[in-house]
Amino acid sequence: MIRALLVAAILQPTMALAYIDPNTGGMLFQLLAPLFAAVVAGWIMLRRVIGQTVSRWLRKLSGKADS
Amino acid sequence: MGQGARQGAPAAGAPVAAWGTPSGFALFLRAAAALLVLWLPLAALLQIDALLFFLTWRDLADQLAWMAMLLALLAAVLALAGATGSRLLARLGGSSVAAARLGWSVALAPTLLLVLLQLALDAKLWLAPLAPWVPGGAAGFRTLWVLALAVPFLLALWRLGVRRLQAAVLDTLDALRWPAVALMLWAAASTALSPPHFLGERTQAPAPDRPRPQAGAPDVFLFTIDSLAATEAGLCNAAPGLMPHLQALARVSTCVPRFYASGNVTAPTTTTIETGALPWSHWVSTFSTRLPDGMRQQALGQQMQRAGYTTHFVSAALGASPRRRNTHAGYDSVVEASTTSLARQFDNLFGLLPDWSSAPSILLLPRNLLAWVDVRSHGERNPYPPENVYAEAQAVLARVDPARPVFLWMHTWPPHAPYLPPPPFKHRLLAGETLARWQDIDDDGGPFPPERQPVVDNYQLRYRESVMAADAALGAFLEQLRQQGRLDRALVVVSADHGESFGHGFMGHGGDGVHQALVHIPLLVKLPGQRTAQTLDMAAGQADLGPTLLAVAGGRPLPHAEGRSILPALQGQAMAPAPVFTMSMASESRFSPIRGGNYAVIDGDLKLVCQDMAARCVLHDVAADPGERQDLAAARPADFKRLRALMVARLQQAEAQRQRLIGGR
Repeated sequence: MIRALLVAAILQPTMALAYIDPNTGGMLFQLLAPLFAAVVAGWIMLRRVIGQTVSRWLRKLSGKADS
Repeated sequence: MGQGARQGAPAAGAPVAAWGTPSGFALFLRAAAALLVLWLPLAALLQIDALLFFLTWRDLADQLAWMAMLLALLAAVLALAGATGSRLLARLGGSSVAAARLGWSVALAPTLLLVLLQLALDAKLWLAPLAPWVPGGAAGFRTLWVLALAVPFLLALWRLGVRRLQAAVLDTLDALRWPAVALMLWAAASTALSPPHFLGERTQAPAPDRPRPQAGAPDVFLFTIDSLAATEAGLCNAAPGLMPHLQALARVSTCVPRFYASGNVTAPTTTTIETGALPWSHWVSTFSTRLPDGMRQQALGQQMQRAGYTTHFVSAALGASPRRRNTHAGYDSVVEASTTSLARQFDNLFGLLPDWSSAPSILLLPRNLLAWVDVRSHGERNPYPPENVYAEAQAVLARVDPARPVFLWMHTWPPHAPYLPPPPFKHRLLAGETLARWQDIDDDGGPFPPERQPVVDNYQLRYRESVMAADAALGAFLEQLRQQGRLDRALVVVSADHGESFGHGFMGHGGDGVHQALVHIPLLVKLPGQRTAQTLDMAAGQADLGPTLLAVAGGRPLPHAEGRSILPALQGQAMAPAPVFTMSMASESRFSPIRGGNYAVIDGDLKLVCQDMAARCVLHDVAADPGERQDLAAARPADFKRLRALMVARLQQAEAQRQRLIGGR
């Protein structure tokens, strides 16, 4: 029940006044903003791990052994 | 991130001074990281729902790429300034620590401030639906919001200290360099494939193959006065009112006491004047300014040109300007009147890139920062005096080809808020310092509770003083036209874009309402050579204006017009009455079927107002009950049923038109 109310609160788009406020609390904004924050924070924290993983894959693909 | 890129830089977490004198490139990458990777997505996400109401994903991606290119340019300028300042300080004998701090500060302080403010705004608006009991916009709660959003920042500052916080910020930007580079590469490629159409100062001579005008085609002067409500203007009244100069013009004109705007806000209503189409067909709103192609190419300006006219538009508001709705090709000149408002000057820059319709929404925060400065720097001065529009109009008239008739549309700002009437009109109705400065009257529009009505009544008095000032300015311009011998033989039309409300629990305009104060506007039409006064006993609407002007000018009709020429009635001939429609479209996608919005149809003195696609309607007699307090649906069932059926049919037509002109995404 609490979860349902929380989801409803997050997804509920607020009707906007066309001239005064175009988009307070739009549904896509509610969904994408935390996703964006997670992606940026994830990149900042894990960039070295990501870089090393990509490098390892590239080396495997090019047939070079790990140094 | 490659470690090679960090060569010469200290370890993560080192204080700023340890980074040494920064190179321009290092500053550029960090400033670009802040602007492109952090600020741009935050700003665009905030408006993403509204943007997708009128843009396809492809259009949005193109416009974001243009924005990214501009931000990269801004980052380059800041980096150059930072690096130059840093080296200059070092040469002048400043310490390396001071030089480093100066370089980083010049490049990053403004960008990080912008990011922080945007982050705070996004956080506030993201949290608002989760805490609906806290009214975010109300003045009393602003301090609470600022404190709530400042707490995490202050905690971080207390926990880390200034130096470590600086270092953490620089480390974060360091981590975002390569995403910034990737974004710049994408933006460059996208902009090269789909470059924006840049529109410089637009003044051109008519093409040699423009048709010749019909013999005796008169000059056409169209005046739209922003936010002028019919009852306040009182142009059809015999008794002296707030606008004596226009009442004098009314003595040689036809006054239309039942004239209606097609909506309650500038962009859709002026688009109706240009196209003859109602908002449910053209889908232009304050935030969705792109006119469907079929309408754009056959709007009022183009049709007047095809009738041999030289066409000109002078505007005090970009929302009314053809540059915003992409109909500028129909005008030989489109001029935004000069203003002392920084925010308005910023707005006018958007007119240089008419395809860039998302810019005003995405750049809302920097625009609002300029508006904040405007409010505090102007005091009692009005930043948009109508005299600026009329001066530009005189400049247009001085340079036009005398062999062709002129179509000149002037859109002036007062009495639109801020209600800052100049002397001698100020204090005529409201004495003292109440609501005297812009700072006193800022940000008070929108819904208000009943107990606030006395305050709103004071606003109305300042508004009325502004109406007086607007009348005096237009009167002076009309006198100039008369002295130049242009007035008598011209078609002169004076109207408004929409009205202004001080009742019904709503102050200003826009919003959801279609009550009389918002949509009932004045209309004066002086036909060429007209010498006597006439009152038109027939309801008419803004969709009728374009067809009427073209009928006088000998032009071809507007192909998408939902109105009709009322020229026969103006010439004293009988015309059958026709229903008039007005509406407030909902904030919803133009790519989906119409669902929301408030719609009204006026038939004589009756006004049917509907919601939920005419599922819920009320009927008023606006002559007997101008306040629209009494619902006559039960008392007049036949009228209610007839008008509701008409509304349902027109909504279905509008939806069919939407599918034809816009379709799905």
